[in-house]
Amino acid sequence: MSSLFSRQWHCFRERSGLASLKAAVWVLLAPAVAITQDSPDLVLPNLGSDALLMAELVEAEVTFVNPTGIGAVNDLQIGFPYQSVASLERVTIPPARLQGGTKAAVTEGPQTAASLTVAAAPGQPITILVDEVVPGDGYSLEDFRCNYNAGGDRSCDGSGYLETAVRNGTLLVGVTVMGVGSAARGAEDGSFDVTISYQ
Amino acid sequence: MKTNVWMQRFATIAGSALMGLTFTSGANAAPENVDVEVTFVAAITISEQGSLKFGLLDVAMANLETVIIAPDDGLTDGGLNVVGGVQEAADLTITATATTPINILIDNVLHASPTNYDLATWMCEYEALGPAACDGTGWNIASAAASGALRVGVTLTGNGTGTAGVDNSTFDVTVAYQ
Repeated sequence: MSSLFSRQWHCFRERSGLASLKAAVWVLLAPAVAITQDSPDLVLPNLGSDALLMAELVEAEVTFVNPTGIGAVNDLQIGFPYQSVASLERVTIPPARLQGGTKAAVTEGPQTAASLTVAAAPGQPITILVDEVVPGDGYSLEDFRCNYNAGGDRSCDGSGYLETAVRNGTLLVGVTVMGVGSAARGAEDGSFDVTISYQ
Repeated sequence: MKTNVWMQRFATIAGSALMGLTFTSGANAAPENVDVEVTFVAAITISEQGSLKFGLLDVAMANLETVIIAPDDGLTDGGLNVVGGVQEAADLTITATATTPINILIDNVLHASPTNYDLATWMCEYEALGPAACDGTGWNIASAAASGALRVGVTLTGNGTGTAGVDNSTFDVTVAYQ
């Protein structure tokens, strides 16, 4: 294309002369080209990884249960200790309801562990705790021991102990009565709390 | 002769065009410098340290009663429906490129069956930032820490269904660069 133009231009120049070129100079009054940036800079997305977002599945753990329930079937019965029970002399009523300790300290009367019925959601861990112990005059109550759902005897005072709940379980509570050497004749009942709580 | 006149006129036009091409090319604009913005970032990672735990709730929880676990593990239980177990906000660890804006979003809340409740009003804490709502469109953080602990709490609202048993749900935690 350029060679064709060149040949034609050569022909025209020979035939018409250079004067025609001088007459064409006025065409140069064209405005200069300007460049302005109308849009923001070129922006590329963050690069360098295919993990620009990450999702994690998380579990919300919820379990609905019936609140624990507890009911006393019978109180803890020590029987009739002698008024003369000596200091540090003991009468132990284990959860299995068998009389132990110093038999001579008890003359007669029923000796049985406390019995309670505990309702809880099966399979849930529960704490069995005996506290708020209030003895009567002339003795102290020491070393509470519990037996839940025909399991083993466990210490259940202090911080209590952990068990796995059954729907309706029997809880037996025994204790050791320790004389302080100052018993007076008559009824001297004490009390304690049994608390069942979910872990 | 007549042909020669026309050739002269044509030569004038041709010359004008030629001169135009030659001289306008000398009127170029100054170069405009345009940025190409590129930011390389590290991959975002999320690792779960602990699930969101409501523990054991009373099956008799009434309709519209709420249990709220805040991102700092704070418990609000006006109906005394919490009867045991552990109550804790979800605990996750996030790694991202420091100072790069991120968005934290909680969505895709799925309930198991049966469902005694609804989960809404998700709140998040990220390191020392928050608590802030992180559901809906999420929570925009202008300058993220390079690595930090994300804790997620929520409000559980009972519906009075009263079905005992495990009733877990799941939700997605999504972290993305903005």
